[in-house]
Amino acid sequence: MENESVQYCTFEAAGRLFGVPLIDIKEITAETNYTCIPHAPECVSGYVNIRGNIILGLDLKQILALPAKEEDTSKRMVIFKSTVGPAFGLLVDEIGEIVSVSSQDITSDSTSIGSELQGLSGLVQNICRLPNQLLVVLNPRKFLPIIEKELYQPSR
Amino acid sequence: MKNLKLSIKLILLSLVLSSFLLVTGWVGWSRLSILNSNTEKLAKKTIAQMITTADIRSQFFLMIRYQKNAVLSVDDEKSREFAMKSELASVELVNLVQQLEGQAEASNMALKAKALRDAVEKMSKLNSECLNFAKINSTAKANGILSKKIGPSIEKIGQIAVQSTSAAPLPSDGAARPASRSEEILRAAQIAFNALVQHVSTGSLDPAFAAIDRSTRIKVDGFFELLNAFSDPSKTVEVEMKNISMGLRTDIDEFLTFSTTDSNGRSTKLSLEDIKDSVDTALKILDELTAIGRIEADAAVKASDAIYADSSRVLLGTSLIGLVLGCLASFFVSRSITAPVSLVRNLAQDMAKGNLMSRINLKQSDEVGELATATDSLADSLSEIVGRIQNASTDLSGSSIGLEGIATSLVKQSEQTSARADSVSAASEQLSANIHTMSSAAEEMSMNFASISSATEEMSVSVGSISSAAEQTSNNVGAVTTAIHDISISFEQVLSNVRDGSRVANNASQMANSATSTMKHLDQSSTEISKVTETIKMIALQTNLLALNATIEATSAGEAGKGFAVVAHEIKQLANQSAKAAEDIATKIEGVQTGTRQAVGVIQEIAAVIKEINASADRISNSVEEQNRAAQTISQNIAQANSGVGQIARSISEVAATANDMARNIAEATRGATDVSRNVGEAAKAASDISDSIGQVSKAALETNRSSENVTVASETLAQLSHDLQKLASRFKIPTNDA
Repeated sequence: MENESVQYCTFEAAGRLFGVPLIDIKEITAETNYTCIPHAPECVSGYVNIRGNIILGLDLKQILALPAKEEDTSKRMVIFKSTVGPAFGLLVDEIGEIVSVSSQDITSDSTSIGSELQGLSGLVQNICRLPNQLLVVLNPRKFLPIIEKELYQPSR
Repeated sequence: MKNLKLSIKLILLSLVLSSFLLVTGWVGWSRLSILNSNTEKLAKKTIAQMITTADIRSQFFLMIRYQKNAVLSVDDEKSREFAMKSELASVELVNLVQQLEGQAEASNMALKAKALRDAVEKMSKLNSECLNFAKINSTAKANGILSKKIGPSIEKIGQIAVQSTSAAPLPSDGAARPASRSEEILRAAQIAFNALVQHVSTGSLDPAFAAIDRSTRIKVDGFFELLNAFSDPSKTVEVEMKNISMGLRTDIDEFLTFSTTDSNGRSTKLSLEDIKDSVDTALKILDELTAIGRIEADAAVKASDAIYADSSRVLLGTSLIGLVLGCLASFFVSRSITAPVSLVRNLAQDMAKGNLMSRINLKQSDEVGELATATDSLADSLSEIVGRIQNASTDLSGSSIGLEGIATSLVKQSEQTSARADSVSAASEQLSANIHTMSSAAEEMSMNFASISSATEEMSVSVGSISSAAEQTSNNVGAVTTAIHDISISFEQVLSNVRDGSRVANNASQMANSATSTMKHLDQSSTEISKVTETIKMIALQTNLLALNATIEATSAGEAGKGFAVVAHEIKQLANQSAKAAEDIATKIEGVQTGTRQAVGVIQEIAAVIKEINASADRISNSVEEQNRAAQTISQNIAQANSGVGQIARSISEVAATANDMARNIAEATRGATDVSRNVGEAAKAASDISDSIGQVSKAALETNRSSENVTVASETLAQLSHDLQKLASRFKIPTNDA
């Protein structure tokens, strides 16, 4: 098992590198034409129509409280499989490479990550050592619970 | 009078006026001096006399007062003091009277003063006499002796007599009773005392005094005889009595002497009678003197009044005569000046109106006459000058018309020169050089296109092996090829434009325009290429995404999808390569666009040079305006205009030379154009050369134009001037020779 490698799909948000397990992804689409949802939190971008299926689009940067970027053509939506959550996708700035990381380069120590991710540590699944940089692997199963938590916060 | 000089007339007039002024002044002065002497006399003599008289009067009363005091005073000391004061007053009085006598001038006055002096001297003498009596004060002394010494002595004698009678024993010899003897003595003493009292109370001047004096002496002698008889030396009482009686005798003798002197009575009498008379006399004289003074003062005042009235009349009369004579004299003098002057003024007005025919012909030898003669000669010379001006202006207009013809032909020549200067725009052959720069840019562009096509070809080979995505890519590559065809078409157009530009190099502005439009077209094509590359990029991204999804699908398929995953990876790489190639094309197209914009800039510079040539033409017209002003100096004389004509001749030869220059410059420009075709920097330099050449040409043209315009303006101004001159001269009416 030690020598086995896991494939991650990497993407960028506000210049930072993140990744999710490739096995969780259903597809990646360039469709970024959203239908707005009234009273939705800011991290919810809206509904997207992908070949007749309605997908809920979440904004990764809003969730991670990263600075917003202007709209451009390089934005992509990562749509997860139904095993991860019911019909939702993650809006990222740019899709990166698909990387294979051997299991010895994967660590679950969440105390070494950057300050932006504090309080959201449950969202971070692993940290992977890549040849040039570290890859923050997010747990796609945590996105919807975070949104729900935010929706039912008593302060709201 | 008429022929006298103006100054002499004025001097005469002023002499008359000043002589009357002198006469008036002299009369006034003499009258004033009389008045002055009168006043002086009044002040110095009459008033002084009056003051002296008043002083005499007061001194008089002072003297009399002291005298009275001296007389009335009982005390010796005081009496002497008053007497001395009175004495001093009298001396002062005499002095004053002498002073008055010295002041008196009129005979009656002097006479009165003399009389006054006599009276005063007499009074003064009486006064001193009276004062002497007053100083002695004898009556008072006599009374004192009577009461203090004689009275007590008699009383003592009486007492002694009574004592001796009672003490003595009755004499045996039957002599008279001693008692009766003492009674006798007492009685005798009483009688003697009464006699003494009567003696002193009667004044010595009384006519009864002599009798009283005699009886008193008898009574006193009788008393002393009785006393002597009574005495008895053997008895002490009688010895004492004898001594007293001897003292009494001495006292009574002294008393009698004083009483007889009676100074008080005498002085009183003198004071009351003699001095009063003389004082009255003196006062009367003083009154008279005062009256005389008053009369004199009245007379002086009257005299002053008379002098004042007289002088007023004389002064008024003299002034009136002087005024009348002065007015007459000035009227005649001014008349002799104004009449001829008005004649001269009329002539001057005629001349001002343009009538030079009239003359004054005044025969008068003063300054006004000279003025008239001078004005006549002025009119003569003016009419002569005007005649000459009329002739000259006629001649002038003729010659100015001739000059204008010459000027017009000159202007034509200069216009031709300007046309030649315009043709200097041929220098914009330089444009072709810049087009060459353009072509090199285009070459670069074609090279870039070659690399694009190679990249695309490579891509199409790869794509051919892929499925529907590769097919789409192939389609897009076709589009790229179409775009490349478009580019080559536009490149052809550019080339043809370049050739056209070379052909039409003689017409620079047209060339510049067409070049600019070509550049725009090129720019447009480049933009189109940019669009195509953008599309390629998009396709590459899509391909990339497809590859990604293929990879995901392959991963989902697990072991079965591994082969497909490799293919997907290949496709992804190919897509990345396509994107990179498109990026390259975009960069190169960017370079082409930069080159194109630079070329446009160069063309615009050339257009600016051409515009500068036009601006030079404008400057020529500006210089012509400047020359207008310079030409005004030419109009001053024809000779200068002639020299201008000479200058034009020279300038025409300069134009010929300039034409050669131009030809040479054009050749140079052409050479420069070939040089500049290598790069834009050299093109700019050559363009500046051209502008220099054009500057030379313009300068030559400018000079030609300037000279010709000079002449035109000069001749026009001359014509205008001669016209004006004729108009001016015709305003004057001059006596013609035959008239």
